[in-house]
Amino acid sequence: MKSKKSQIQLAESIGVIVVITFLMVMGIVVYHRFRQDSIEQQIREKKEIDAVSLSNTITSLPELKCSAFSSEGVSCIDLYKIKAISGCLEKTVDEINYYHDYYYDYFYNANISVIQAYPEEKTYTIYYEEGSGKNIDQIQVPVTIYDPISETNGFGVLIIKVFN
Amino acid sequence: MIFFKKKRAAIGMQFNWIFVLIAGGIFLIMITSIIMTQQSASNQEISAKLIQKLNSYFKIEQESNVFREIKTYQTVIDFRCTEEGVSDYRVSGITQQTPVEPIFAPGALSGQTIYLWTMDWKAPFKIMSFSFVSNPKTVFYFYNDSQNEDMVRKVINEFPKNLSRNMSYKVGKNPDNPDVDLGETNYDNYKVIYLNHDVTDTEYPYVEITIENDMDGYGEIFFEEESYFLGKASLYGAIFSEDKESYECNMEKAFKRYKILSNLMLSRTNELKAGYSYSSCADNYYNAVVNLKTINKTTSLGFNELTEESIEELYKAVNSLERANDYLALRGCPVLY
Amino acid sequence: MAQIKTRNAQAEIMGLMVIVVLVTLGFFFAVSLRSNIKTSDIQSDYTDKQLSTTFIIALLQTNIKDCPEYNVEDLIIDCATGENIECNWVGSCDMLETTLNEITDKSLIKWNSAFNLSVWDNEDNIIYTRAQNCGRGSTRIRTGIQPVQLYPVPGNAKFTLTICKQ
Repeated sequence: MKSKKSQIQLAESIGVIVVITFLMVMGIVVYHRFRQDSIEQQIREKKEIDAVSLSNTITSLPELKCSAFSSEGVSCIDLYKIKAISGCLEKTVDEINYYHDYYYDYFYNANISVIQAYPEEKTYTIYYEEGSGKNIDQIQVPVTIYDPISETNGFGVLIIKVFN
Repeated sequence: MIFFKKKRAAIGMQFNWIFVLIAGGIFLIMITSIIMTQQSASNQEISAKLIQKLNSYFKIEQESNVFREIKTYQTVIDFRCTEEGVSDYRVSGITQQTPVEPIFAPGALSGQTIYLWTMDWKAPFKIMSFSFVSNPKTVFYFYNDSQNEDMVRKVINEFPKNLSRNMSYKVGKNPDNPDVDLGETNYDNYKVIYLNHDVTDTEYPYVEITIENDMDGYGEIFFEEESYFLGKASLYGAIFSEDKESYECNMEKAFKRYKILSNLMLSRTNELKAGYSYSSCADNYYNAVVNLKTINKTTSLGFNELTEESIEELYKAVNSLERANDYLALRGCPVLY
Repeated sequence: MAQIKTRNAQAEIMGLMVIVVLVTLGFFFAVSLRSNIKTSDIQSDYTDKQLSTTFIIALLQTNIKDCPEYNVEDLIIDCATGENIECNWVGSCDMLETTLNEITDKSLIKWNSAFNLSVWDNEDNIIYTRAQNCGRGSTRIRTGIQPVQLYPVPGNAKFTLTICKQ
């Protein structure tokens, strides 16, 4: 009887330790799950913010933005600047590499194009690098497309697709 | 019998304590390691947040002439831009690449405050924003005598008010005795600036800047080897840079962009020249094309390949392009920029 | 006595088990509730909000291809104040309708957006309207409004674009 009593007491102590350990492990697992969810959400939000920030930056780049004294609207891009920059992508292999490599450090995996809807329909690709990302964040920004030679404004949309 | 009972109880008690010690010890180790891991993760998170904040300020398109005082936790930020093209900054072991943004800063900044000043680099059109970084523990000593007093005053007057109020800079003729305690605990970086003045004998890092006409012009820079500046922003870049290597590395980034923009502008100007070939605007477009070709040719060589002749040629082309743009604006023709 | 002691021990173990079960259930509910919390969609919010405003601002400045001396804003002003402009023998109100239809065909209609584009004169009469999937049963997300001054006629015309969610 006495030895059984001490064995039971020992078993009880071990049982308490096992239960406490189980609770602690559960707590840690749940905490990490919460943390992981929170971090994934932050990453997702950051990617979305980056895409939105990119759309704001592109319309104010000197490579595209209307010159001073021309159309003063919000999001105005110059037609001949668009033609110049999309023309650079069509040049020889060496030239493509130079421009593409330069902008890759800035735009990473993205497809940036301007679709002129009026007066005539035309699409200009400014930058393209698909990468291996499967998720696509797409932002459309209506823009005024200014022709400095005819001094007229067309209507178009700047489309930015970011591959994540 | 009684003797055996007492002995057994005594032995039992000891075993109980041993058991408690082992189990308790294991728990303590487990909890301590969790705390250490969480602390390290938390530090990394704080560093990442600081990097995210700094990234938003180091963009190539920023409002010009803006001063920011950034408060942070006690940390060390290391800036690096090397000849091999490695460009980044590091906060507590986390590295952020800066392949396109020119950031002129000392090698390391420690403390809880960072000063950030942005300025547009124009030649003559805006190419990009330069970021100048400093902190309360950085001192600039401007060598000043009757020979260069005016130029020193002009350069210092350009500093934003908040920056000059908070930044340590001294003006005088004795750089080795700057009337500040340069002990390691007080200051991280000390640099002597010679503007339009020969270098005197000093044991501290220095930069000698010879300004040809004015700050918006061009000139020579001498760290311990020769380099050049073009435009006000690059002059301040030389003041804030750690050394020649970091200055030229950042200017190389700027020149890459300059080359691209000048090429795009050349393409557009050719279209405008063709579209306005029979108008009074034609001459100015023709001049602009010539100057843009010069700029394109010089920038294609890279900043490191600049010589005294090429920087002067570049400056002349920049000035000429600016005049052409002004004439076009006066005549109501579509401007270049 | 021995029975009471046994019962005490059993009660103690039961208490411990109840605590473990309650805590486990608590963790389970916390994890499942967490996965149900809606995450914010920054990009969608931004796209919808900026689209309505920037679309009409860009549209107002667009020049008419048959009569490039006029833009959409000029046609709205003229249509709201008496229709004096003629472009290829077409009045400003008809020209406005043709132009806006053409632009919306190539943009909002093509993207399958749910929208309502309208122009109102200074007396709140509709001059132009076009909509797609933005009627009953849809939720308005954002309306962009741009007033157009009709000087010297008093008052403003209104150009609105409502983006809806089906």
